[in-house]
Amino acid sequence: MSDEYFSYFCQLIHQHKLPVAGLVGIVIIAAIIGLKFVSFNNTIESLLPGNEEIYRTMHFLREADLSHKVILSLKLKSSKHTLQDLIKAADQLQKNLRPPLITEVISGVSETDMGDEIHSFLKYTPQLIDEQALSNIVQQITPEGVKLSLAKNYRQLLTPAGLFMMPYIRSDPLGIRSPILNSIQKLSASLGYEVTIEDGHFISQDGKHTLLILETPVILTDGFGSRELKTYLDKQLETLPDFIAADIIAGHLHTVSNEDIIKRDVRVMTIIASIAFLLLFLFIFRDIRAIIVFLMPLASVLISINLSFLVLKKLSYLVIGMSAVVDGIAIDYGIYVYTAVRTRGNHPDTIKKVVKPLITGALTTIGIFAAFFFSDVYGYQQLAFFSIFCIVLCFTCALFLLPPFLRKGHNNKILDASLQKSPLHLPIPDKIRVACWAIVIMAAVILSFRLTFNTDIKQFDGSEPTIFQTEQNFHHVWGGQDQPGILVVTGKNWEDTLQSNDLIYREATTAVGKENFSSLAMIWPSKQTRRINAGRWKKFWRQGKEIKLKKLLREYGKKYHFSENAFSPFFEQLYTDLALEHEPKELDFFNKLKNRFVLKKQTGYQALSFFPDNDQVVSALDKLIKGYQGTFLVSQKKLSRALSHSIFKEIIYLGGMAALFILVLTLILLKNIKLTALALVPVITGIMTALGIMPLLGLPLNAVSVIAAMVVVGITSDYGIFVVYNCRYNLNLGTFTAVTLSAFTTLIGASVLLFARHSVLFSIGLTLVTGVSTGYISSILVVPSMYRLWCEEFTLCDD
Amino acid sequence: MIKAKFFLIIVCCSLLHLVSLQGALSANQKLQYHTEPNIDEALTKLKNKMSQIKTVKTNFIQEKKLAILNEKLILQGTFFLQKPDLFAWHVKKPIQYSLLIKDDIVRQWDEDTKQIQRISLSKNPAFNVVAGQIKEWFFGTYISLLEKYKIIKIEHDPICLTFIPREDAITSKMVKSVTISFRKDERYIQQIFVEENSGDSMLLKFIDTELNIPIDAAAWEVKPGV
Repeated sequence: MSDEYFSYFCQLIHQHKLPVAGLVGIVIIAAIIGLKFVSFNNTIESLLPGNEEIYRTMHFLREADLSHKVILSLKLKSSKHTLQDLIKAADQLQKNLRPPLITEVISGVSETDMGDEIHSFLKYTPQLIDEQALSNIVQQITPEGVKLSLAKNYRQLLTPAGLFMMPYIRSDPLGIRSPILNSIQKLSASLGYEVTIEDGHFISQDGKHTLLILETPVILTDGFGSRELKTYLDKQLETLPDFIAADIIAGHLHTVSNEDIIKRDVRVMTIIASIAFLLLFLFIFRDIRAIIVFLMPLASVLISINLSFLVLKKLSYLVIGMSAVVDGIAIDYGIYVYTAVRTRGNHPDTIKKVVKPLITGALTTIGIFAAFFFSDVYGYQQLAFFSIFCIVLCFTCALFLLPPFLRKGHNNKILDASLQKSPLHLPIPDKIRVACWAIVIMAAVILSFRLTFNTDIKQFDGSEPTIFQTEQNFHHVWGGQDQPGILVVTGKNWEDTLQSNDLIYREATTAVGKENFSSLAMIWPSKQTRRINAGRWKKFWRQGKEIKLKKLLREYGKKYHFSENAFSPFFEQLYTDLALEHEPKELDFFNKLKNRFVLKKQTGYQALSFFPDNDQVVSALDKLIKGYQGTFLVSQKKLSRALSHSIFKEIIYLGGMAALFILVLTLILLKNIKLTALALVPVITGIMTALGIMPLLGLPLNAVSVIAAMVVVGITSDYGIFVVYNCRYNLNLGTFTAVTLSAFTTLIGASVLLFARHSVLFSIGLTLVTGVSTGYISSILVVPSMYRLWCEEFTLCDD
Repeated sequence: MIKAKFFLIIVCCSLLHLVSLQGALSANQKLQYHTEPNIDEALTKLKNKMSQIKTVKTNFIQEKKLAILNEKLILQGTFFLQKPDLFAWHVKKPIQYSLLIKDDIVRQWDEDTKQIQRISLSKNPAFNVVAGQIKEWFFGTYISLLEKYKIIKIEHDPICLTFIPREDAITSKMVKSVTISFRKDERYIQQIFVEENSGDSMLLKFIDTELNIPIDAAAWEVKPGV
């Protein structure tokens, strides 16, 4: 912008102060009203890299039919009451839970038909026994094998618990069906929950808890619906008798809690920041007009939130959390202009003197945020848009709107003398300062080698600790603490999916062992496989095995007085020919197993298999599925690995871009490599100490602290540029005061984050406070000393 | 949760099997199908008397009439009970077999395999039901069974009760009736008879029953020859 245009704009605004002030006021009021209509995205996806692996995992977890369920765990508190009392209360509660918020309640499984159901299912044995199992039977149809089986059956008759096995013994004297029964049991336990059934109700092993599983149409991301659901459930739980305590386990609680925490954090942060800013301006500047400097970034944040919402729709809570920080950054431009005006007088020449370093400072900060546009994380892209707009707005206001509203003439005395006085005058030799700085940096570098990365996505969940505690208690009572990994096989139709599932089951069990893999293929293979099994079964028994077994059972059964027809149910069912097309949909247990292991999608089916989520198994299965299109793993271990990889990529990529950008801009401004290196001292100091302090406090680095570190680069580079620029041109613009005030305001914005309950916001706060404070200290204590030691010859006159 | 399904088999089946039977009801005996109006009083009286019992030691003879066998299966042994959670079942004939339930653990031993098998009650639904049934039938809290059974007093002195599963109760599919006869002093059970829908039946007779005596620690060990 040429001097002419710049002066013209300043003059124009100066002449129309009142209309301009009115217009700005209207815009601010509109922005405040607009806030009510802004909605936020509280899902963690917006904070995760857009890596295919991560996206697929998160998408699967969201789409899987797991998220719309609510669990109520009811506990018997008093020993004076019995389990029956608990069950009665659960039944009553079940009756009270109604649509529209609760569409179905499952309190247990019907015990009445269970035995019959298992019996009916075992009729499919010929279709389910594979070649390996059949070859095992050959060894049992021998005198020794039959003797062993009969002795075992007889012993079972003696045990109190074994007697109920009578129908099973009669229909399966050799225990051929045991693997199928074991598979059903294994599949039932594949999620690791430990549940018993009493009176048709889910009962915990300690006999003091029962469970209700609720189906709700409210989706997890629906903040309003989640709150309504929570209120409804709380109200219903109030009707429970005093001797019963209830815990709600639901993702919806996290939605509500995260919203509450963020709202609370933003409220607290806004109050603290506002008070701090006001006190700073009123007691340091002692000028009522300085409030304009404070109001400018606040108005810019309000306007930017509205505009970002209009352009980007739902905003990530990262944007809101960072608004105080951006506010602290954006205020700097106003401070520099205000300080210059108060020091050198309110006329265009003063403003012109600060324009150059201001533009460079703004551009470097914008450059840092602009680098986020190249990030894979959508939340960071939103942050970039919001921050850049806010900085541009505040920068423009500082140059054009602020000066006309400030007093004419300069008054050095107004500013506190202690701030005016440069720390350059502290009686510490330059070399000692530089040496101390070098020691600090070396210590930080050494400490940073101990830095660890936290890639657990749960860290982004800032829900109340009570929610996590309740979930922990739930797992303590009901098990399921160690969530298994999931192998997902996709197919266009049911049979295709099952065929792929069969193939993968065979390979997976070979690779990781049967004990480590639970799949529907264990009890329900594809039609193709069942056809082959059934044919093999018939052929097997018709080759004389049936006659031989009958003879052996008759001969050796005499010893135990087994009757002639003791095992007739087995032989009667030997050739039962069930249609291959038929699926036992009438069996409740089968349907429930199928619902757990199969997801129906618009484009086909997904068959799920469960496995222990450890590195060894994940690695083996990962290798195995490479040959199968549409097959993937959902594993926390794998997700963590993908996140680590992405974070490293982000650090290198974004960090590289930002460093290059700052380097180039600083070089353009200072036109000297040595001076540029000097201007970057605060950047290096800020980053290294921020990275060094984390291991010192036992904190890991995470994705958001990387972003915060980038912001530190943007802020501290300004300090370096201003101080070096000031030293070089020997300006009398109150630069050290301005840098100090700007660091204070930034630190106020950042340090309020330390009061946040949300771990993500706290993490950002810690990185910023450490980085900015050390960057600032180095800019006023170290950079001038270095300048005097190595760059004195570059000093130019003021003009 | 689905693990629960497998449990159900056990719940259905084992309900009464651990208990032996008595032939108090003959096959053609006509039963009243309504709980007697004053049965509460009798059940409360029994509960009060049996609640005084802390330990039980008794020999038993169990006769099982099963379609699978040509002959009656007759078991002889000793039964120990110590409230609230200790139970031992030692069979001496026809083969030695021991079962011990202590806290959450079931231990079994038999002379054929000569191995002790340890099973967690919470992880084994079958034995969990067994433990539940022991409490249900041997602890005397029959009043709580009114929801599941129609209870008929068929003898007054000493008392003899027949329990007929209600139609909606899970036991109704398997069990026709359970009849319990009490000692003259009505402090404990004399014998239990269970008749199943399939025609199988079991009779458990208690002999030389000793109540509230200190139980030898060896009774709570699964060892051959106890």
